[in-house]
Amino acid sequence: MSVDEPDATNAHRATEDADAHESDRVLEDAPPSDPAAVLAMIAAQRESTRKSVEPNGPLIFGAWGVAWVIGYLVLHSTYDETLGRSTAWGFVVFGLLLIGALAFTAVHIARRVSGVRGVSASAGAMYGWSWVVSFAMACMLFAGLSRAGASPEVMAIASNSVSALIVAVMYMAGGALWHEWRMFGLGAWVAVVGGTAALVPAPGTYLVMALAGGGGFLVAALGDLILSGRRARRSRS
Amino acid sequence: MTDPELDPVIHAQARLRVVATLATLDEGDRMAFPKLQKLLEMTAGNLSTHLRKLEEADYVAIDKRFEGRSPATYLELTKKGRRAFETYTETLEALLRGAQ
Repeated sequence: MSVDEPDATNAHRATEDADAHESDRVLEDAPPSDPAAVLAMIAAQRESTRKSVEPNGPLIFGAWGVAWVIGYLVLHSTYDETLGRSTAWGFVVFGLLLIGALAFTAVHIARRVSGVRGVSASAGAMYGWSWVVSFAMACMLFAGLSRAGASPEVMAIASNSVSALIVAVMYMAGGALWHEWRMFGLGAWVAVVGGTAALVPAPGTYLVMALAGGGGFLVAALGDLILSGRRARRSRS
Repeated sequence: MTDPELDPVIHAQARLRVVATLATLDEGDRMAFPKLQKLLEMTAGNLSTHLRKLEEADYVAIDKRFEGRSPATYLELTKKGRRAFETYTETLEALLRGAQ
């Protein structure tokens, strides 16, 4: 480094360069001489990139599957005939499970998408806010129904089905946005389950949501795992 | 493989991995330098050198900006770079078919 190096930034850059030239000798090397090996290297690099920037579907589906299965089973088992609804404790446990799944999803996605900017980041942000806005509106709707004198049974049907409707639409829209057929299919399935649950008298509603709804998420998680395992094996061979 | 048809800018292990990584992002997306470095497990200096070569060929756009008070560098494959990578993989596939 010369004495007239004006500032620390340049000094740092000079060290960086020296360091780079040293290892350049090795890294200037051409890729393997076999085209198949180079293509395999490219495929492996793309796969590891996808893994580090895209959210892990099975993990998120699994988290929501567990939250729904346990949460709705708790609502089902704490259902009180005389109250005409599940007990407050049931709702507390259910709420905590959903908040847990939500926090897990948010942290996981934030970690994966950090360090990537551009069109897909803004699309993802709009998608995330769509969930928040939709559920905020739903809460206002439930408050309005309750104020207008809706019975516990009406409240149970409305809150359950409107929530399922939002999940269904958001999943189908997400499937369209990211060209993910499984996500779209899961959304359509949640719509079927939410609709069926509305027609089943309480507390059967919750049993339908737990087994078919939560179960659906778990099946999707398992299916995703099997398919991605198969894809990874194929790209390795 | 010394085939002259293969783009010499991409046909170096480190740069090929850089380009393959950036090509995996959607068009219009860019990746932060530290994330790219972690993915490729390269030293910062090494990666900078290869990025500069890719920038000289107009394959990668280097976007330096401030996020709050700290500097951040984002890398994005240009249209030309994306096309060069596609041509490169197509050439490899053609070579592979020719070899069989």
